[in-house]
Amino acid sequence: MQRLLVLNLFISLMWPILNNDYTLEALLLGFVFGFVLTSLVQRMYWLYTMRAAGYVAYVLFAILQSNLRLAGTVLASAVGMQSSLRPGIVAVPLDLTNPFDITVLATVITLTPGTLSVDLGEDVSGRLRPYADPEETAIGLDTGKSERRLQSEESSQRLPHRTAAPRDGGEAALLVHAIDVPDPNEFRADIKRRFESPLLELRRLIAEMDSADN
Amino acid sequence: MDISTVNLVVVALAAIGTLFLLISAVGMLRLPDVLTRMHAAGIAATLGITCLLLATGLHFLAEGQMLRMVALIILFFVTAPIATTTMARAAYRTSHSDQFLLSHDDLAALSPAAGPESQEEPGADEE
Repeated sequence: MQRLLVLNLFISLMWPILNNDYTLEALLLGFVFGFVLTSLVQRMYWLYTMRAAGYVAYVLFAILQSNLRLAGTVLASAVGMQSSLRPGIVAVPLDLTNPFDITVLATVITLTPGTLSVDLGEDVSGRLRPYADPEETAIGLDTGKSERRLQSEESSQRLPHRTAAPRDGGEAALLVHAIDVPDPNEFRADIKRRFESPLLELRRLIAEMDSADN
Repeated sequence: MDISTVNLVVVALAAIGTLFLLISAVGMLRLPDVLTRMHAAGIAATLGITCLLLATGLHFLAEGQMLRMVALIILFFVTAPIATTTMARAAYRTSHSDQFLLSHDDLAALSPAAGPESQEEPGADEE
């Protein structure tokens, strides 16, 4: 499904280049052609594209919103009105397992002014560890693998959204620096609700379509 | 759209972009530590740049520069966070956490300064 989207974007980029017509209209025309082509391949493709476009629009809106809020904060601190900034680094445990999704989420969080993803850790039953590459642990470089696999199977039953194979370790946890954190737990819930759950939805949609294909 | 209307939009966009660049600069000077200043840089990287590039694209619409500007915005949005994350991580790892103004720090459990033997350190305990 993601490959189809990439193919669609590639076609829409090639159209202006091959036509030697570098305008936005040519790009949009190319996108329409690519869209029709990929819709022939996968009938449900339009739904995925709509949802993905909706997520992009939502993120752009969120960026605008938090830009304005942060500008207010900066101006307030410039005139010395607000001296009680409470910056903090909060670990947000993720339900996402796919590395691509985690990358997208980290990028979105960094793009939104006011929040900034600093590092990626791993939440192994409540304890934070450095993020282990799933492929490395799959080869068996990691000791204590079976115990951790057991844990992750437990957690994969807890989370019905999980579509990819459970990671060997715990859940990935994104370390987010925010400029004002009144309440870490509320901040975690906020990030998960606003930015992560749409990505989970998308991933579930992809899995649904892939299983419908087979 | 009338020519003067286009000009008005161009001027408005450029002014808004410049205003946000200014706010970003003020933030860079006034905010307390590296990490919070990076947030201020984020204002310039998103809203400031976007408004200025859109103004440029609109102004040179007849020459067909809009596609180039949109491509620039997309590339900026894709690449800027990577640099920001890397810099933030480097800044955190190379300095002591006393140098940051933090009311809450989960990353302390992960920082290499703590070392593998002292992983019992507070930080992740608040969860």
